[in-house]
Amino acid sequence: MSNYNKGGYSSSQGQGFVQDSFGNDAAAPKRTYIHTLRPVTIKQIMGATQTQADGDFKIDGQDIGQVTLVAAVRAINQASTQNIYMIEDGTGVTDAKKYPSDHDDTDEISSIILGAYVRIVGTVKNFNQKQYIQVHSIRPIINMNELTYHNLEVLTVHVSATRNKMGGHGAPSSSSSTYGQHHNSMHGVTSTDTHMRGGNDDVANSISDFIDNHPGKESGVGAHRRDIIAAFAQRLGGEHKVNEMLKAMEDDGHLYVTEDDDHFNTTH
Amino acid sequence: MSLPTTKRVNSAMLQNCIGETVRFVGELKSRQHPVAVFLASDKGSVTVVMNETSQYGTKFVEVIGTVNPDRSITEMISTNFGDDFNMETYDAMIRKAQKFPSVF
Repeated sequence: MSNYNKGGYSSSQGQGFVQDSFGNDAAAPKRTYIHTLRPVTIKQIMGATQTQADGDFKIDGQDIGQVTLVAAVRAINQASTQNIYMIEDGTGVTDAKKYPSDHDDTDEISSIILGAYVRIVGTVKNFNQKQYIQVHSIRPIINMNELTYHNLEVLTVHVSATRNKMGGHGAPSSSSSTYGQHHNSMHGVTSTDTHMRGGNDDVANSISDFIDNHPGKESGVGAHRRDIIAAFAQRLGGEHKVNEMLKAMEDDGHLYVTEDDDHFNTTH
Repeated sequence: MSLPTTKRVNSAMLQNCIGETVRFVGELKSRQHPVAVFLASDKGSVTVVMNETSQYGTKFVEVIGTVNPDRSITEMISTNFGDDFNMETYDAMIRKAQKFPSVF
């Protein structure tokens, strides 16, 4: 958790947190505005966790700001203060509540009828122990390829969020003492995701392990190419495959060459 | 109306969903009351037992219904999906989605 500057704005890497300072902060807790937009399914919304009542919601361990989803409208309730759309997307059912606003396109709003698929952007709220969506914008879907697109985006973001949480090979390590743990947990995770990355992570990790355990690691020289080939040629199917792998790992920043092009050391 | 959760399926998946309520998107090929025949996203053929309220207005239609033992679908509700819908990408999406039950 990084320290925020008091009296100014700062952001933490990758998450887009922006923190406002309200002057005297002795007693008042700081309000953090999360300016992220996350594509989700209703199932993910209903399964979102809250660390404290009225606190922010998390999905896959990540704090969520606004969410966007695509769902079908199954009921419309035009209450006095707001419109309530009951929506479902095959993964769950929830209410999407919208306050009328001067910015509303009334033609667009009136084209949202029962059975229509809509694109919603809003915030996840909780009422009586149940999540609902406070709608920022709602519009009918014109081209149904947007549904396919949305689902693919949901999957991409989900994989990205859960992979980074496990301390994937490319993620920055916080300290060398935890690096060993990240390495081990990576082995447990890749089995479910290897269909996405072709199983290369296991081998890359093994090569990194090999170098880390090599006598050359301490002096900073690393392991010689021929030693790596001897250890991995059979598993990868040939010397050229090992060389390809080493080149790829070097390009990705996991390895660097030391005293000459045949000595490899790990970057973290 | 409260709908149960529904999986998105192509023709190959129907076999494993007998008795379940599913979401099926297909290209309408022929219609002869009370059934309609669709081409699924994996190019298989699927029969749908239509509903009195069925209004298939476009080339592609989404049908939500229950899967019968003979792998036909008895329609509960349908939605027009337009005339411009990419079935290859859709098929890839539903197959990927199957691998992530925590999300879908």
